[in-house]
Formats: sequence, C-alpha cells, structure tokens
Amino acid sequence: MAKRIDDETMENVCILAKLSLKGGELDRAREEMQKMLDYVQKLEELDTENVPPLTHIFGDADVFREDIVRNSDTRDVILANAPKVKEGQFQVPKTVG
Amino acid sequence: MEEDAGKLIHDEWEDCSLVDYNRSGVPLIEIVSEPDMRSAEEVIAYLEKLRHLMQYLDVSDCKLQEGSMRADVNLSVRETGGSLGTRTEMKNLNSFKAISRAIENERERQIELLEQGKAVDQETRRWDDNKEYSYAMRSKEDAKDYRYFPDPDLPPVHVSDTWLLEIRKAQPELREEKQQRYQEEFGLPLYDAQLLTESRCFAALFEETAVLFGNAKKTANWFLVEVLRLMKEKGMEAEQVKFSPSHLAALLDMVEKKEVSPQNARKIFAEIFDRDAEPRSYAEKNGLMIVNDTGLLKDTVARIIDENPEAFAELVGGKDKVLGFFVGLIMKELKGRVNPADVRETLKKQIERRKTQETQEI
Amino acid sequence: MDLQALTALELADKIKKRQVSVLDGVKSVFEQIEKKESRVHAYLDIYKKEAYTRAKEVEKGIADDLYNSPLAGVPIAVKDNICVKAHPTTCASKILGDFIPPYNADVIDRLERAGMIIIGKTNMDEFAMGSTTETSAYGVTRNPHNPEHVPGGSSGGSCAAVAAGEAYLALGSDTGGSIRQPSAFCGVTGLKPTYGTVSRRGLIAYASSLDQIGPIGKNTADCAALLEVIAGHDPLDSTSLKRDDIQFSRENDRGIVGMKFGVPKEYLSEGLNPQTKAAFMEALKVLTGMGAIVEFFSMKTTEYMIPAYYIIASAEASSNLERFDGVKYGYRAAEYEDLHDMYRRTRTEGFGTEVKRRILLGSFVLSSGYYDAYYLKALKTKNLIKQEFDKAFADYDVLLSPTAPDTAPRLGESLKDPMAMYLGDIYTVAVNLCGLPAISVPCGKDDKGLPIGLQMIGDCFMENLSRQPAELPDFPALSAYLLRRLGGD
Repeated sequence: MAKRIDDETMENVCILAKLSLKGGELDRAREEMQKMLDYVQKLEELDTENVPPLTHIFGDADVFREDIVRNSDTRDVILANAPKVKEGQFQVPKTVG
Repeated sequence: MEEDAGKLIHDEWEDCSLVDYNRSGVPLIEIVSEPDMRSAEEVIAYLEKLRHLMQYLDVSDCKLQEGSMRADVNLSVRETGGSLGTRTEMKNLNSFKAISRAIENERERQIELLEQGKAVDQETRRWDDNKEYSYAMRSKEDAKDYRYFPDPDLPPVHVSDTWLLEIRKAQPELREEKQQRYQEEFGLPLYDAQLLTESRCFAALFEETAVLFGNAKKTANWFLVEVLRLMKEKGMEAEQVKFSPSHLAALLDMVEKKEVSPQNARKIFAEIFDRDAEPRSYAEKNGLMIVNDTGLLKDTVARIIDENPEAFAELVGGKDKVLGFFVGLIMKELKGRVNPADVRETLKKQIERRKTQETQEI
Repeated sequence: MDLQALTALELADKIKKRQVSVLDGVKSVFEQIEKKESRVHAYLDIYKKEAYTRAKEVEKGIADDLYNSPLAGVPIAVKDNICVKAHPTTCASKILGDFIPPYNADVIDRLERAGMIIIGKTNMDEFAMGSTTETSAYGVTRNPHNPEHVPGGSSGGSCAAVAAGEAYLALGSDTGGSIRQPSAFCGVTGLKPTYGTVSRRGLIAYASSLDQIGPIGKNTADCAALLEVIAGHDPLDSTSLKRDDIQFSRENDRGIVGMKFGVPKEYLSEGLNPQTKAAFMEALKVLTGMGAIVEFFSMKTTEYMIPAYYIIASAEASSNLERFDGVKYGYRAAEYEDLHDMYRRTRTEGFGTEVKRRILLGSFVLSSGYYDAYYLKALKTKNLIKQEFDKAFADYDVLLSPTAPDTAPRLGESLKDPMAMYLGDIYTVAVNLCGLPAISVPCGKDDKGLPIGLQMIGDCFMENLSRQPAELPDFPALSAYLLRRLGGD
C-alpha cells in the first residue's frame, strides 16, 4: 500500500496543481489518486539501485543553433487571445499586496 | 541557466498588475552561493566582483535598476561559533544600496526576534526600499516547491574539456588581469588601475588612446584627472563615456608639442567629451592654438603692467605671489594662446627692467 | 467513379493524370461528411468554404508544377491539438475554447507546401488524455463501425474521419497509443514515428518526451507517403532529429523468408480478449506460413510499463498544462478574488475531470518528498524497459502484439473506471517511453463487427528497416507487404 493521502497532502497537491476541488469532486479525486498510487507502488519491486534515470531517449548529441535575434510583428494577434489586455500588456489581478 | 519569464508592472491607477512578455526567453544565469558571507560589505563586494566579471565577459550589462542583474538575499543570524540559524529570503532588491539596507534591516529584525525569545520563520520577504522595511509574503501559494525535473524539451548539453579549453582561450582579459598589467606596465598605483578598469569599455577607451598617443602614463593621468572630472560634473557612469580615442590622442599630442596651452587643452577636451570634436580644427576655428608672436606678448605684458601699477609695485617689491595674478590676467587677455612659461619669462624680464630703472632713478 | 473507394495515393495519382479534379476529391469528402458526420461527430471544426477556395488554388498549383508531392490535392483532417493559424485550436477543452493560434504548426506548413487540403479539425480526448474520445468537452465521437461504441482515443476523431470516408488521411498525435489504439478500433492504419522524426512545434504539448505526431490512413502506403510529407528537421524543436532516411514510401518486394519476429509472451497473458488473441494468433500463423521466423520471448518489464508511463506522462502534463492560467489565452473565470484565486477558478472550471486527475497525480509525483519514490523511480524503470527493448531488437527485426487487449468498448463504459481504461494501454505505452516507431494495421474483426488491430514495433529509425547485415525493407512498406499477405490491405 502506498502512503495514505491525508488532508494536508491533498491540500498541498491542489495548491501545486492550482486547482480548487470541493466536496465530492475532492473526495473522488483523492480516492482515484490513492488507487493510482497503490497501483504504481508496483515499481518498488524493481531493483533500480544501479540504474541511472533515463531522461532523454536521444540525449547524446548536443543540439545547438546560432544565437540570432529574430523579431516577429505578432504582438496584436497574440494579445487578441488574451482574456484581458491593458496598454499592450496582459492584465492580471494585483500580484503584490 | 534559465529563461526570463517576463516583466511585471504594477498599475498605479487601477488595482491590477500588467504582464509584459517581451523579455521572456532572454537567457538568465542564476548563481547560488554557499552561506559564505558575513556582512553587507562582503555581499556588495561579491556582487561588484560578479558584475565586473559578467561585464568583462560581455555576458550582461548588469544593471540592477533595469533588471539585467538581480539578487535575492538569504540571511540568517547565529551566536558566535553557533550553527547557522533559520534563514529568510529577501526579494525585490533593485540596487546595491537597497541590498545593503535590506541586509542591515533584516539582521536587526532577526536578532531582535531571537533576543525576545521568539523564533525566525523560514519565509520569503519583500523589501520596500521607500519605507526601508520588509514584509513576509505569507500565502500558501508562495511556499516553495518548484517541482523541477529534467525538461524533456531541452536535450542535455555536454560540456567537454576541449570545449571548456576553447572558451578559456577565447576569453577576454579580465579586470584583475588588466589592473595587474596597468600597475606593471604603466607604473600606476592599484587605486588608479581600479578607476581605469571600472568598466570594460572605459578601459578599452583608455588603452586605445594610450596606444595612439604613445605614452600610457600621461594618457592615464589625463583620464584620471580630466575624464573623471567631467564624468563627475555630468553625473555619468564609466560606460556612458564615448569619444574617439584618436581625438584625445591628437589633443595630447598638441599639448606635448606645446601647440595648445594646458588651459585651452581642457577647453578643447570638453568639446571632445561632449560631442567628439576634432581637436585641431576646433582649436584653430576658435583661436585656441598658441601663437609665437613675441611682439604681441611684449605689448600685452606692458599694457597689463601699466593698467595695474600698484600690484606691479608689489611684485617688484618681492611679493612673488602676485606673479600668478599677472600670468592669469595676461593668459586671459590672450585667450590662452601663449605658453604660460613664455608669459612668465616675459614678465620677469619686465620686472628686471623696472628694477634697473628704479635703481637708476635713485 | 466512386472516389470514396480510392486511397489517398490513388486519388492524388488520378488528380495528377487529370482524370479527377482536386475539387472532385474535396467534394467527395464533403458529401461523405454530409452523410455521416451527424452520427459520427468526427470533427470539431470544418473549413468548408476555405477548402473549396484552396482546392482551386491547388488545382492551379499542380498544373504549374508548384505542388508535386505524391499527395498533392488530397484532403486531410487534422487533430485539434495541432495549431492551424487563424483557426480555433481547442484540444477539445473548454479552457482553449476561443484560442486562435497566431502561427501554424510545422506539420501544417509542410502539408500546405505539399499541396494538401485541410478539411477541418478533429475531435479528441481533452488534451489527448483518454482512450475513448469521451473526455472531449465538445461531445463524443462514435465508432463508424458501430455507433454504440467509442472510436478509441485520443485521436478518435481523426481515425473515425478516415474510417467514415470523411477524410482521405488524417494527422493524429500519439503519447501512449493515441494514434495506434483508435486506428485499431476504427479499422484504419496509424503510425507513430520514431521520436523526433516529426516536429512537435505547434503541437499543444501533453507529455513532451512521449508526444509524436503521426499519419492515419486507409493503408500503410498512404501513411508512409504522409509521413514523408510531415517528417523533417525543425531547428525550433530541439528534440527534432536530423534524419536523412526519410524516404518511407520506397517500394520493396523483399521476401519475408527468414525475417525474425518476436512476440513478448507477457503481452498475451491476462486481460486479453480471446477474440483479439485468436485474430492475432492467426496473423502469426500466416507469417510462419510465409517463411518468417516467429518466436515468443519474455519481456519481464511488461507489468511496470503502465506505472512508469502514467507517472512520467502525468508529471510532464502537470508542467506543460501550467501555462493554462487565464492570463495569456483561452478561458478566464468570470469571478475571482485575487491572482491565485483567478488561476484556481480558471483551471478548475476550464479543465475536465480526466485532465485534472492527471495534473494532480503529476503534481504529486514531482512534489518534494515524493520525487525520488515516484518520478525518479519511473525514469529508472524507463531505462530498464529501454534496455529490454534493445535486447529484443538484437534478436528480432520486428516485435508483434495486438494493438489493444480488447476491441472498442461501448460508449460510457470506460470513464466509470479510469484504472481499467489505463490498463488498456498495456501494449502501446512502452513504444513511447522508448521513442520507438510502431504501426497498427487491421487484422480482423470480432463478432460484433468491431475491428482488431495488429501492432508492429520497430527499433528506432526502423520506419526504414535498413539494419545490417541484411538490407530490410521500409517499415511501412514491410507492413504493406505483410498485410497483402494477411489479407488486410
């Protein structure tokens, strides 16, 4: 059995995920996550002591390109997608108290 | 290494913030130090050193006000010999002065807490430089859990010894190396070498001028006196100084050949400093070149003496201090187009003559 | 002439020979859409007017030899997680409901340069998270073979469109089987290329280390031709490979005698539908009869593939989907108290249940205190899986398995038990973890008339099977060859 997801853990995960689940939705999400964690617990059976983590399948060659500044005149089309715009910038609720 | 995320502006009129993503994607290097520093002075010295290094390597102009260099300060206090205390992190530090003030302030705050028997919370604080005060950013959302993991979109970069060696070879002369060389080659004291190397482009300006003029020591003196004086007057930073090294070299050459007086040379240099004027044509156009007209000099000296009989009497009477007064008047009258030495020489001859006359009259 | 009976390559050939106009091809697709779309619902957006305008342009372009690709003039459907400039691209999510990309995905530019005609955007599981196309915020897609069943997912719309004749070809994306599984369920052919063969620029990311765009078509030759159009290096995708072996549609007639096929025996154990197993075993029998060597071997990491996959995919998803916060594009909650509340409400209202489930899991496995036990462990497991595949490819030219353990489930069945749905990805996920190419081709039907798929897995870069010492045929060509023998094509 994997670690039980207590209230505090679940609250923390919701903060990290930037989600506010309430009532039944929260309970169901916790239950499903618990099931999933219990299932993936299976990995503990594997001895990976001397196995390095594999992050990139083709990570051997360096991928570089020339450092060339390119400008594109797409400000208006980009801003057109924004829910709220002010003075050519994206408007958000105040970020500092 | 990371990419800049963007810039936040806090709207003054409306209760909102504005996000400008024009800066996103600009490369950023984050350097995390060990808890090695013990005072604000050490922190500033460390940051100054870093800034010079980055500037000399042409990585960044490192302007705190413009955000091209930023620092977050982690600080904890402890009793002498004790183990490190709980640290806080300070954000929103926009100048070296703010960093220094914030460190002092936070040190005092933590000591006060501990002396009251309270604990220091590990938290992120925001510095308000106007109020010289910091406050905790306490929301749960600010708790740090970045969930960093190897970015699948960015393949790893392999830094080989060969590559490192190539980079080292291509690396420009750094500030300390330059200072060392200036002391050895030009016989400058460390302090002068530090001033000249304050910024990479300032040092380059000095070196190019010195090469063109051919006398590094004299060039250095000019920079240390005249260039620094004008910078101070105009409130300029070293990297803002821009003029053609060939123009200053030409001017120094004219001084050397006694074609302009030191006084006029300063005047000409102000023009070079301000608008990169070509010194010879400027001097000629404005009548600042030295004229070798002994008749004119003699006549002027005689006239000035006649106009200031009392002062001259004092001079003849042995009051040497008055000599400077006369030299100044004459130089002014002739708009500096003569050598002060010539003026002095002519004046002395006149004094001798007057003395002889007086003796004869008695 | 019944244009519907033609493959994409045949249509393009007739267009080239002026036996058929580009407009005729486009018309045949829209006639089919008229007939079937109300029942299938393969599309989220249809570019009818634009497609006709474009058809005329392409007609002229072909005459002027501006477009000379083997697929010039062919109508194609595009999965709605691939950006098409100035057209909505929603990922079948409410959160991107009104998003209009300011640029084309690299593959879209390539389709246009090849003179292909985009018919519209296809339905999918929200953000490609799902196996049934039921997690779409814009309604389900039905399986053209049986409307009571799902088309599979997440590229269910693309596969259903091809199966229903509503497109000659389609683009899908495959993160853990999202091209192959719906291809199997819809009775079409779908290929997941070697990781990095097709640029991901403009593909809205789910899990960047696993995502790959690939072709879906009526047969392997069509898929090979489309892969040739979309493959190629893109300097703006750092994981894009510089491959020079991308002539996938090369003809081959090499015999199959002596070729070695490996079947992981763990793939045939519990959970495999007997009818699927029977169809698969029949295919093996045919291969053996043709002189191929078919062997069973043990793939010991099999039971760890899904755990490793879901940890890695969810972790990357939680990071990739952080960008949907109501600031730059898409949905923003109508009411909120402050910045963080705005993020939370926007995301809680904008994302569907399955997406939230994976973001939560991903956030958990990357969070401090759990990273090593879950995420790091999954990366190490991935290494062990890769090692086992490397070993298998030292012994075998191609690995074979059913594409999915079962045929398409009934609508509404899968979402009740997400765990059971995840287990259905058992044969497909390891291919993505290891960056391998794989193709799903039809190999029979069950008693309900639902298609069964056969999956062939190649070693990396084995879309071209040009391994030493023996010169082997192209992967799609090989599949085509096999299929002719299997009676599938």
